[in-house]
Amino acid sequence: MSLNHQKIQEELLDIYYGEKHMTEEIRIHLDTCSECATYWKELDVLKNRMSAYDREVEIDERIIGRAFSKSNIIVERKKNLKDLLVFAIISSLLLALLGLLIYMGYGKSVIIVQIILMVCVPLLIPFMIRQRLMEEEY
Amino acid sequence: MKDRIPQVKPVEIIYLDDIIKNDNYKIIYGYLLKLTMNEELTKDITQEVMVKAILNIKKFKGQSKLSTWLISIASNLYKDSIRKNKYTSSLSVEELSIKDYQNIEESVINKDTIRRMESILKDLPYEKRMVFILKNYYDYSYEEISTILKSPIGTVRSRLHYYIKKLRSLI
Ligand SMILES: [Zn+2]
Repeated sequence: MSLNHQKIQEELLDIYYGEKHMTEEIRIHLDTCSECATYWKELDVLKNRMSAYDREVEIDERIIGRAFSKSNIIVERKKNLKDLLVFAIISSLLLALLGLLIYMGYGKSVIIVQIILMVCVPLLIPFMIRQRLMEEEY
Repeated sequence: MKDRIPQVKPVEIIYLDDIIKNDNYKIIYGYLLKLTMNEELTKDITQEVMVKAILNIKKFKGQSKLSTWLISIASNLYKDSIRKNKYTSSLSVEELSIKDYQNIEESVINKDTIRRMESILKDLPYEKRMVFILKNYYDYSYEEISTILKSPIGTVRSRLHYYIKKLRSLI
């Protein structure tokens, strides 16, 4: 194959696949050169042969369903991870604050506040239950 | 759609609807089937493509056609699966729906040709196969293929030329 034919055939391939336009020069060459004309026809044969692979696709609803449930699980997991991270940060901050207070000599006060909270919070429960019940009545 | 996946804006719901529209599903599935030549693998990756698309729908701003975006995701996932060596291609000729041929003899010849082609095609690098499939079956331009596969246009062109050369030696 001379360089000329090879070059023309490369052009022909781009033309066949719509990347370039057929020029007058190439058209004339195609009419006179059997080698390149065969190549041009072969591209068509090739396309036809390869169309055997282009089968009709049937929709599988299970794939779509599974994709949505998997996405939901991932979104949920991400949300849980975010919540855990926020919890870890807030508790570390509280712990650091307590440590700082104890370091500054407020240890005694911290313990007293904690005892008051431990005693008073359970006392609030009946009120909270009442509040909820009232809300539910509405 | 709204109850299928929460936390999405109305615009995103429209895109989500489009993802599962028949045409897009068929494009992804058909593309992956030609690429993998394996039905099971195609189902797996199609599902992964949809998961990825649903989760990343916020990143899709409509800059390209939705199908192009999905094809790009499918290509990346297939590349990943190849890298992880998770799958091998194996699609028997019988699994392919050979288009109705006029007579049995012709069908036998074609099956034989396809079988021969298939064994050689499988050995060709997948990057070249991707370019050929996108060009031959989906009519994407070199430029679009270059965006989808993140390869220079020159590389896309030379891959197609190489692939066609190999195919010609088979027929
Ligand atoms: Zn010539």
